[in-house]
Amino acid sequence: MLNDYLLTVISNIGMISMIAISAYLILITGEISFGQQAYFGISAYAGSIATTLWGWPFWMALIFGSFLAGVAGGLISALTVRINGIYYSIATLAFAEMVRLSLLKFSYQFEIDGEWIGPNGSEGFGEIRWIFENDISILEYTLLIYLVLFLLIAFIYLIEHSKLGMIFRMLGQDPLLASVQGVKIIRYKVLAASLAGFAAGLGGMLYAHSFTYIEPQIFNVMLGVHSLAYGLIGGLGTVLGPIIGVVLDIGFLESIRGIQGYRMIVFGGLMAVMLIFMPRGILDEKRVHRFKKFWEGKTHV
Amino acid sequence: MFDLRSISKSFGSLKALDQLDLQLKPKIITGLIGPNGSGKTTLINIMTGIYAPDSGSIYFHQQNLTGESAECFAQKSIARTFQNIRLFKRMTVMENIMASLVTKEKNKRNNWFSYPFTRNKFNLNKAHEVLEIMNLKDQRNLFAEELPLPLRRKLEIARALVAEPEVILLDEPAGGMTPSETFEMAELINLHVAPGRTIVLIEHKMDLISKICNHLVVLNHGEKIVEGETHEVLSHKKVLEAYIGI
Repeated sequence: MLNDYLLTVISNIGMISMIAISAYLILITGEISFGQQAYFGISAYAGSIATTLWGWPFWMALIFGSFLAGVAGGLISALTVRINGIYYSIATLAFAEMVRLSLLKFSYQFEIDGEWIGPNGSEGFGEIRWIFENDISILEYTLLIYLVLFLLIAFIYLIEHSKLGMIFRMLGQDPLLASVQGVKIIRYKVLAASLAGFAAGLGGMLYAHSFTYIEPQIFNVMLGVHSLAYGLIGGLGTVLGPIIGVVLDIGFLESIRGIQGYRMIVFGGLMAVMLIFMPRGILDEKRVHRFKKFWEGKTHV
Repeated sequence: MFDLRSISKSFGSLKALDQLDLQLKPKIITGLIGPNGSGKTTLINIMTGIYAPDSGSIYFHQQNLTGESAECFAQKSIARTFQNIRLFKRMTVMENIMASLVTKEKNKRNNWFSYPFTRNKFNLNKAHEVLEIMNLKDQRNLFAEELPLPLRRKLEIARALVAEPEVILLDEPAGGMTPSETFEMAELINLHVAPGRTIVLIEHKMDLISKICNHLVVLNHGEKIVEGETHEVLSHKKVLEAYIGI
């Protein structure tokens, strides 16, 4: 039988996979975002306010929080669409810090059963009690997380094999060439960023309801750096790449008791080795293509 | 059809094009020659919307495209290749060709979520046709970055061709090739690229120019110095002075 610790690790893998997919979507369109944690945080707060203070149903709050994160992602992308490279990365980091610092000042509380509940600046936002009020076990909530993750992966998989996926990869590899093929660069960059915001938002809202307490410090730059690293380690050839990165970090490194306390050092080293020997990650485009060909068992496309 | 009027373009103090007029003749190969830095590539960049001219206007089929984006030019059925080869390096040869079809609306099923895009029969048939023509069939599953230079040049042309454009602008399609490869490229352009299309060809290899171009435009210091039938232009005094240096 799975114990609670193991279930927590498994559910963590599921939720963090969503922000890793978010960073991956930006990576395949050719940019490096250090700010996906902002969308994770926006949805965590918005979704929790919706269920805890407004009494919305869970699914509606999940869509609301993620939608808000998607809109924020699209807006930031529209504002930064004319910059790229390091300037884009710095802009996304600056936005994420702006969100985190704003949440440190954000107070929105209701009195419920004689108790003040809601986000209260640096004190955070506790009493996100949807799990308890609905008598959801850890196992049930883990299954719910994986249902959402499965739907997200299926959606991104469909996109990757569609015209839209082709356009995202064209943008990532050579935006000038994409534009002379007739691709409207701005439209698709904003669309990719909105989808990425939405994906991070799903993870953020689920995270808040899993831990029942959130504070702005959770959504700091390290969360963004990790979400980036997962894609770079796992590979940029398929949506399964970033999930491999998450499993390696949270599932594998965290579970080895002998390296507890040194996890970040091992993770940093792993990252450096990967960037030198496999700069596009384990499941890069070539390996994914060869695997597909092997799977199909034929040579013609 | 393609009508450029008084086009000027400067980069800082460098005047790349100066009051240039050019009317492309339809369905023939127009060669564009001139010494390095004469403005040939700048002109092609302007004709594909990569650069906007500082002054002057661009008309395509009487439609004013001045200041329009590269996306807009591409959607007007104008394709190009690059002097410094540009391919989607982490895509296969087949995917590079299919990528050219993403914005083409000729196929009704070619919408955003037409799944799977790279298995779409309509697109696949077109891609296979072009692969056959360009002798790239055996390399279709290789990644673009794995191809040798001559095949990369062919892939660029295949990519332009598959979209069935009305105009193709070829920027040094035989650059870096051996004489036999250049000869093969000339045959390919003559037999498969040019028929029924308007072609602009930038090239330094005079044997290729004289072999396939019907019409020639010579630039020097951003100005058009001579224009006319290929054999006449190549023996023109101004061309010999400016281009060959005698």
